[in-house]
Amino acid sequence: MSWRVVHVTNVDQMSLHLDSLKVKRGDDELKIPLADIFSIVIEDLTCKLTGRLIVELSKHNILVLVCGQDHLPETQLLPVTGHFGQHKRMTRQLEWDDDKKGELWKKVVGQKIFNQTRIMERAKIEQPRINRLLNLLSEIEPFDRTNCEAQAAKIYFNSFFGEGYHRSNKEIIENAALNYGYSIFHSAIARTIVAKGLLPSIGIFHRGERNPFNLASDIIEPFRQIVDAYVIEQPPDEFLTKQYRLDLINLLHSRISIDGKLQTVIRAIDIFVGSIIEYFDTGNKIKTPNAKKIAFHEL
Amino acid sequence: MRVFIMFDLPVETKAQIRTYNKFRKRLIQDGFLMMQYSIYIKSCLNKDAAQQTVNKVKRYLPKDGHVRSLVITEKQFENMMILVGDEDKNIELLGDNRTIEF
Repeated sequence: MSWRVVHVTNVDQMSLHLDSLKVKRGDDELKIPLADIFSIVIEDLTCKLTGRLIVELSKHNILVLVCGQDHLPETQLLPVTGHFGQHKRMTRQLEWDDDKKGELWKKVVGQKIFNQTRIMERAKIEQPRINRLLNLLSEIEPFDRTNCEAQAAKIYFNSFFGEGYHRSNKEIIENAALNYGYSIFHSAIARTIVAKGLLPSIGIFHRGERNPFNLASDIIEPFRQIVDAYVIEQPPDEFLTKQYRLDLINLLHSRISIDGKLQTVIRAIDIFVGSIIEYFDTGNKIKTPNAKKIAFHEL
Repeated sequence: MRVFIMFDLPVETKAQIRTYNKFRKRLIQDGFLMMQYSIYIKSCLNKDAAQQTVNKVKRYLPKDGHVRSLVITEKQFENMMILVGDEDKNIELLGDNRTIEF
């Protein structure tokens, strides 16, 4: 039942006290039960953490992100073993069937493109463009051999940011915001994958040799649209302010429809990853997040 | 949801003091905060989580003394009036807010 996100920008020391995170700032000492915490984002470069606390954070499978001077998540704390049945789970994962992987990837890309059409509809993009995406949606093959994903992404992003737009252009402030939001989601997914005893580096479709989180890069796809929708609806100012970064982190609490119910992103990730494991074990239906209905979390 | 645990435990013999300390410490480990002496509270996400919390406490209850629990909603908790004194900073912090900022 972990549901809190702790965002640290100005703290002296964090330590452990009776299964709680003890935060010291000046004369204040505040405690938060570890069992409540889902993730901690540390943006304070001078904050001290005790070794004892780091061990307990890892035991509770808490996602700890440490950000660099540019405020982007730079490093992450991952437990060596996150799950009691880890060995069994990992051996099974290495034996995942190729046909099933192809089908799963088809489903993931399909859901991603469908979610993109929902976001376009929310933003009142003209219908012909949405129809082009829906056409691509009907043409996806296993493993997305015809690369519908990239074609859809091009139409999708250009609809919002103009024809000259490119995701890799670092000058565009929206890209920085998207990257920040994605990396928060990416790490949250990596944390859940490890907590469930899976190998994060063995993906379904992604096989980057230098990407230790190929599986997270696969799973994030149908979640990205939540970040997109937020950045489109509330564009950032010239630079990413602290409030804006906090808003992006808050997207973890926004709700998305999965398995017919609205769930927080944290929970939806859990359900999605769980259903993937079941899909490979027993062939059960995959439960994918559906952007048909999304709701942002308000503080 | 807020879960209250209120108790009176005998503290006359050394063994009784030990039982008392143990119980108090377990409550804090489970995420309870001391609101006043012998009154501990914890905020939970929903009704199920609150019930689960109470069930967990039931597993390490002391034999003697008097312990009771109460579950109320966040709204009802907010309606509580403080007649004398200030709100504890930690209690203020650990409400139903999902993001905590330092």
